[in-house]
Amino acid sequence: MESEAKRYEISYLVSPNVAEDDVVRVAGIVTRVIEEAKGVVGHINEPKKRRLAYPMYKHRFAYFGYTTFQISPSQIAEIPQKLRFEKEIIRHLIVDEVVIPPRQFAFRASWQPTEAGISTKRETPRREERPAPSAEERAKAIEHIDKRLDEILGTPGEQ
Amino acid sequence: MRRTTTTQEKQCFFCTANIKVIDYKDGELLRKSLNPQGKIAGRRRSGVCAYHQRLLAAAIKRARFLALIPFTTR
Repeated sequence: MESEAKRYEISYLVSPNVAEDDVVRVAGIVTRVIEEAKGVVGHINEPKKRRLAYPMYKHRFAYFGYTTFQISPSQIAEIPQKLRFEKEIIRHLIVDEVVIPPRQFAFRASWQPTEAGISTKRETPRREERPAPSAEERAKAIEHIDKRLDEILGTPGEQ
Repeated sequence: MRRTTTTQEKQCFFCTANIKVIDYKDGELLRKSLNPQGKIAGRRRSGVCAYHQRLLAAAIKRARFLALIPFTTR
């Protein structure tokens, strides 16, 4: 029985021996393997060169890219089997698709843990920035403040 | 000896920032939850709630496998 398609995501590291303009071809290999396993490719994120946190096969750098796709869970095992023979892809990871709600992006990279690990700073400003008041509004506000001051302090003539 | 305690109540960063999904590809965010040795910061240090600590740990382990963040540093 054909089970229902599920959404997955494959992220992979491409060997740095591949030329920069040739990386798209390697991304195409991943796409091809997915399609051969009767998967439907969704979003393709082009591999970008980045420094690895630790050397892998004596490489300090690699291209990191990921692709989302839909495939039936019974077919998923084919993908790593085929990718094993692709020497240019040095490592890959298939996981359930990580769907980030759009509102979440605003808070990225705003975390500043203090020494105790508690962030006391407000992540976002309390109020949205308002447009600067016009000269007329400002004059009105000053007039209002003057009036209130007079009320509180009493008019200078009285004292 | 008395342990120094903070008077501020610890608040889970991910709860306050309304982060529901922790992306393993976001190495920069995950790095903030590592100590200088590259170990995952405990809840006592980071103040993260149990639910998000579980998600965070899983994301960190995935990111380590892809060399986005280190397993350990010297």
